[in-house]
Amino acid sequence: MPQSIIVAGLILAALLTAGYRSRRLIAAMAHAQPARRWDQPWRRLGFVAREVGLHRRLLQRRLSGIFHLMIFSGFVVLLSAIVTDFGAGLFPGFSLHAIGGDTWIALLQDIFAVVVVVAIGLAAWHRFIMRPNRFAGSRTTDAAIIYALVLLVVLSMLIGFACAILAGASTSAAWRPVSRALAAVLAAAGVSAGLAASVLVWAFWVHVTAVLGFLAYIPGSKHRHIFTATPNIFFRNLGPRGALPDPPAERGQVGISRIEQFSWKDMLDLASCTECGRCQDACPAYAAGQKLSPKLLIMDLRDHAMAEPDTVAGPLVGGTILEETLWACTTCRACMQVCPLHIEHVPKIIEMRRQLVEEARVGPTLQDALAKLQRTGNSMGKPARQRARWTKDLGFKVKDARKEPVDVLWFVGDYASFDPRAQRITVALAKLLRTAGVDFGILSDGEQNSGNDVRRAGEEGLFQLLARNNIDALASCTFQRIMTTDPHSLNALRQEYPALGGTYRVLHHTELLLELLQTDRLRLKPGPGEVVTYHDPCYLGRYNGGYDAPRALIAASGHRLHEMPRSRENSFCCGAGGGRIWDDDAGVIERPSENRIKEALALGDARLFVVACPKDMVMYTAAVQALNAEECIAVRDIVDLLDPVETTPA
Amino acid sequence: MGAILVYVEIRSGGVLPISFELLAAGRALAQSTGRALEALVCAAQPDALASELTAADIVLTVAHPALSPYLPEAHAAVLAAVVAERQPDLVLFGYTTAGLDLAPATAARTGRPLVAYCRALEITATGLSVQSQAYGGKLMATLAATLPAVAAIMPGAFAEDAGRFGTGGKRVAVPPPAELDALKTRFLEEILPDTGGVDLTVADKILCVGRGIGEAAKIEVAREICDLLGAELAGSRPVVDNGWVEKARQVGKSGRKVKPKLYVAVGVSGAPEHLEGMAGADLIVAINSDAAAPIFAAAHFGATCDLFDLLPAVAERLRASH
Repeated sequence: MPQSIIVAGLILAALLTAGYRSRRLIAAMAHAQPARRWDQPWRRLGFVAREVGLHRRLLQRRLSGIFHLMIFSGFVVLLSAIVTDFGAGLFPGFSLHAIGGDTWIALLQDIFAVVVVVAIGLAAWHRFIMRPNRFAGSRTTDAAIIYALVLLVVLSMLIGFACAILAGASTSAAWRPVSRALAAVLAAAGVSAGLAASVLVWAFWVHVTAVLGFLAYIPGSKHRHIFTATPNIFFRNLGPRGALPDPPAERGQVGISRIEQFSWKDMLDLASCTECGRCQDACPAYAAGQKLSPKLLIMDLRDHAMAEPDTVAGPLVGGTILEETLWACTTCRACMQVCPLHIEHVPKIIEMRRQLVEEARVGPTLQDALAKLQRTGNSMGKPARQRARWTKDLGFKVKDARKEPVDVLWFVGDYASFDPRAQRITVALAKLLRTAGVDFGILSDGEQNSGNDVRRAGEEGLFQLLARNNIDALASCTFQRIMTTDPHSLNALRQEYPALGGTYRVLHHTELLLELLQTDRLRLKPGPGEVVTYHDPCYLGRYNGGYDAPRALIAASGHRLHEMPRSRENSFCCGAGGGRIWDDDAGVIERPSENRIKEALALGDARLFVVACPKDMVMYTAAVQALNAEECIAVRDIVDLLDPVETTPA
Repeated sequence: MGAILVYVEIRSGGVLPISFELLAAGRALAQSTGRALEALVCAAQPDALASELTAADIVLTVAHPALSPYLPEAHAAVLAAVVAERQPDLVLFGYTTAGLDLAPATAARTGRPLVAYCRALEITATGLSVQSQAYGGKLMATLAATLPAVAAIMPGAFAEDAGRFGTGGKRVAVPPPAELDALKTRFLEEILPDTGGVDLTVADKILCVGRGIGEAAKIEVAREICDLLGAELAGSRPVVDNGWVEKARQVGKSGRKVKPKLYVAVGVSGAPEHLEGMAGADLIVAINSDAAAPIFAAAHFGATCDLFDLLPAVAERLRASH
């Protein structure tokens, strides 16, 4: 039988196998719901270039990022050898000679063959010997098979080149230093030109079969990402990152209870996961010992989606994905921030939480908080008229923004209004603003919880009620901008309310204070110059990009900032977000807040743990007490660091 | 003139105290208006229970296996049948878990008005007049209803003693309604909350130790006072975190929410999450060396001293008084 027919037959068999092995993915994609992800194609392509071409997120993990870049670039180069082999297999006489197949391409092939072999060795050593914890739960055999197939592809190619040189059949020997060296080794081992000629034929078939075996194997493997990663990054969410998807009306239910209710982009997410575990490493719930790993969540959803229809036992929500898994999430977004493929974990969790709320599968503590929010507009169950009680001891009257126009409308938030530890900061900030001559006012009992975490707890109806009440209250006021100390309120007002018709200019207090310093309306006395560390709140940092104003304020206060290892985008959540602050700590082995305080204590010299979020004040004050570390470190808001010169500037 | 009918609530084979409170309320009404007082016992074997109900003039018993353990549908069916048959002027329920099921069901099925949260009742020339508590007891409302009516009475509103005694009345066995043989619900199992052997929410007296206690060994001092006071030992979150006191004894937002008659907080600073779990206690006594501790804002009495100076002295005084 002519060689070309055999090669064509093998290709067809491999494609059919790959197609058959992809049938569940294709079915899952076909049954999935629509999603709008085709807008701004040029911007999307730009992201693809940066993420795929430049490996931006992959390289944030230096070691494995470099391994991946080596294998990735090697594959791009070696694609030319694969094209040559298959071309020649199908059409005898085919070669890349015309574009440099025997010169510079040959040189690159030789070099990158070595690069890939070295990288596979390093990657295997990393995965099987170093064994970072992020691989816990990933499929090891799958990885091993892939390493073996890649080695087979590359080594059969190199041996082919070397044997071609020995047999005198190479047209590119001068450009193949590695193959020549290998040929010299083989010659020294007694391989004759005749033997080399027959090994050359074998190497060709091994190479072709290994490549096609790889192709056939991929659909059931995490190496699917070779095909899905680029589209998944292309179709990433370009909308506001702090806005959750609305439940589509045509779904007919608030949450998601069946896998096919997810969108095709969600399915693409599931098909793309490489089980690299960067998300698991960043997850505060996983670190706390709770039953949530973002990686395993995606893998479980994937296996559920790809399983034969009759083999899935039990429901999706509460079955494949446990209730305690869903409730463990703090929505801190650390998983999404590190995922090299831009997989969207948090929205999937919220969609399934919505279903739990719909079915009233909510723990008693959270239920109690939600009931109080419904009844009183705050999670503490306090009467609305007590919301402005903190203004009583100020010594001056705070404007009621509903009755007179103000420049800055201060949306205070629940914890900052009611919790004594956070209230202290609220009072201090009010005095600071007055010193700086800021024209500000509050909504008083017209304000309700912003609903940010209510939405993230899956209580969509209550969120809409709270948001509606706040938007109505704000509509009756005249103001230039809104300020809040609470990043959660900031996120709702800035990113969630526009979809409900409330579009405002919203500032975090750190931004406003920085503006006051820069315009010389606030002058500070030089601080005592202590060493402090700063915790980036998730909803200020990762969700709203507020990394720099707090740091600028710390610098202006005269203190020295000693950063924790996990800072800015990699900040480690306090454990309170997404409604977790209302839940109990069932299943928590180490509270994330205590884990974080230990990180600060390990710096050795930081005496103050600086925060910029009322919930952080509450969480970390308790954590420092729980660790008996009051002598070592104290929790302070940035406002505490600012000691103003009392004269009001002209 | 119709009688006053009391629904007798049974749990674990015994008559609950609320039933005697209802009998006390019913006895007073029956006496002032010259009506008869009837008690209704629904159980698989009601006779032994019926003999305890000496305050009633007539004890109606309905015996059927579907009636024990308590099953809302079965009891509602009996009530509808008995009320339709005997036409009492007033049916009394406790405002309890069972009362929440049965009072509205009975009112709806027999077309009578329902008044709930009652703390006092009176039958006047125009009908029924009750005092109902609203907003957790912050308000009392006077409500009027026409007779015949259904009323749900707050536990504790009437002294049970007055309902425990009487000359004992006639026993009347009422045949069970046919509905009981075709029920749509059935009892599967009773799941009791796992409280680790202790249920702080029903304790009258609680002594809670906080981080100020310092170490596990020192809890013994507190335990001794608990024994002398007849109080349950509880702990704040850090104490439970450290494993000095078991989790079932944690008071606060992430533990139990308690409302005892006496709450003694020893070395508890009083974080808002702790106060959320105990601020409703009738009498709060705080001992803390830090005069600025927030617990003193919630406490009725406080002592700012080293708790190890005070506790042994308290223990000694308590021992002397025993």
